[in-house]
Amino acid sequence: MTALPGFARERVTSRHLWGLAALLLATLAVSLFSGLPDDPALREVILYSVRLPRLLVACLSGAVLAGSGAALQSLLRNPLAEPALLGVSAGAAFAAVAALALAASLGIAASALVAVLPVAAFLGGMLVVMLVFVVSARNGRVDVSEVLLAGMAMNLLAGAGVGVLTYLAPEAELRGMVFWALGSLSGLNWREVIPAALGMLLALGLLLPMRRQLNLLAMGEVEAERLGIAVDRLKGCLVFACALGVGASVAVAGIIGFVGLLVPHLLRRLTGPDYHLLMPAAMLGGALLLCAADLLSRWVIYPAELPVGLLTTLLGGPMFLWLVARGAARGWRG
Amino acid sequence: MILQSNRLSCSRNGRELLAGVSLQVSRGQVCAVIGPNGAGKSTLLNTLSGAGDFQAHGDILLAGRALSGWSLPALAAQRAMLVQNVHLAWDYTVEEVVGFGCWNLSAADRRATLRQVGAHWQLSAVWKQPANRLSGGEQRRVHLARVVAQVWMRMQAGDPVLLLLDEPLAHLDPAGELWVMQQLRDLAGQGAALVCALHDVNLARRYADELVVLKNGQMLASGRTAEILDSELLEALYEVPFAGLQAADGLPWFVPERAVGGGCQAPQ
Repeated sequence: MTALPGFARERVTSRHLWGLAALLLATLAVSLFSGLPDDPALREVILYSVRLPRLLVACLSGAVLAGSGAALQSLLRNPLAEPALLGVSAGAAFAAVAALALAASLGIAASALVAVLPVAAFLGGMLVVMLVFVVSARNGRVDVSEVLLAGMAMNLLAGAGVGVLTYLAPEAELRGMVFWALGSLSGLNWREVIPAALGMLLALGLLLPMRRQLNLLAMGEVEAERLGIAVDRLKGCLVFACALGVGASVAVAGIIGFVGLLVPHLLRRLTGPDYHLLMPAAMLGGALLLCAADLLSRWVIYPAELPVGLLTTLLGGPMFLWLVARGAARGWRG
Repeated sequence: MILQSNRLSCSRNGRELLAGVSLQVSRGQVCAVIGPNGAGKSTLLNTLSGAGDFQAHGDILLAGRALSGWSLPALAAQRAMLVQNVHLAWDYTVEEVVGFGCWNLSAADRRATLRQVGAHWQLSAVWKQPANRLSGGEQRRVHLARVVAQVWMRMQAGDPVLLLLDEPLAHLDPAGELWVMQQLRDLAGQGAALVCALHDVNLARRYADELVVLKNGQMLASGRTAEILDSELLEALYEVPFAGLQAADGLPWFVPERAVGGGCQAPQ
């Protein structure tokens, strides 16, 4: 590939996806096997019951958040779009907290809700995203800046709802405001991980096959339809997948910031905007980022742990500012 | 007959945009739609493409079948449209943008289509560059190529295809205008039917077989370009006097004049 005057973007090929996958595997190996105790029984417990479910959630959440961010950016043709900004994450968190609070007031143990939480979170995220689109629709079409504004409002509103419920609730019943607001991967067990993991896998399975169609949305919905795409069905499927995946992620890991915004932008620099490559790259990159952040969060203030969402934001913020300063986020429109 | 519309009307929010427009375009024909700004040219093309956010009444037949009876993929394979302003998000390369046109073909067919269309539209020099950073005229050529790529395979197979082009010459320099019109003529020569909204009446005179003349959403005239296009029609259309000169190729050349009786004189 020749470098062109005034523009030197080295396009990544599918071969480079294997590089990302290899990095992810290396991170996973370090995360799984470092610092294991000598006692074989204890080692087994830590490996299978503590680290494996945690890393599974880290991989799937990272992939879902970054994949949803990439998909929403395509749908809205805007670099600001991501699940947290549109209120999906906060809506999911609010629904999960509300379900927990309701269960507590009815005297149901929180542990009985493991399968219900991802569903509630999905419904909350879906409700928020539908409200956002309904509010910003004019004659069946949505205005992108109005979607973003409505999303921001819903995000703040649902966030405040989470705040009220966690503030009022007795400490024991909810996993604490910190968990929902900052995101955390600690203390996960298989019972809560499996239903959420299934939801996230389904979301990834829905998002991956739509990547050719996502490219065509770059010219707008009417143009995509003229190219033979049933845009309404694509939109519905996309929003469903994002709400499902993000809802399941929030149910087990809380709100993890910046992954959905940062990763697609970072990888668009490498792969170019073609979703055929960008989507799987973003998913791998999101998984890698969250696993690496998880590893760091266990190390930085050892033996204590930082909430992983705090770390993704602490790392992601400066990285994103660097991207903006480099003009990378400008690549969305000539 | 590839495209046939009878007494087409359309309105948006109760406001009538088009009334009683009928047209017919056959295989190998170029039909030009001319008219002042706001006459309804874009609305007509949008309606003919089967898209748009307005209520349309009247029949539109594509290859003898009502437009509403076509599935989206079948329609996309035989009808392509270039809109007046394409807003492309993200830095897609020219190759990727032209590839949008044939996104649902097999990899081998897509490669062949891209190679042939890219060569026809002389895009090899900018092939790997981001389309949004090209000049306006180059971008126009890229999107024309994308629209042609959409129906290329079917056209090669001899199927009836329709191209709806809303101001294909926008942003092009005079040489580029002629070159693009020649390309469009070649497409007609390969069996396509084209409907183009144009502002240049002289290019319409030279390259269009059929003419549809719109004013305020009404059809002022329609028919063979050579038969109906004259100074009187243009004067009635644009409300400015037109002088009819004779160009070197023997065809008339229409020049708008500001003041009645002033401006250009026809050569003796």
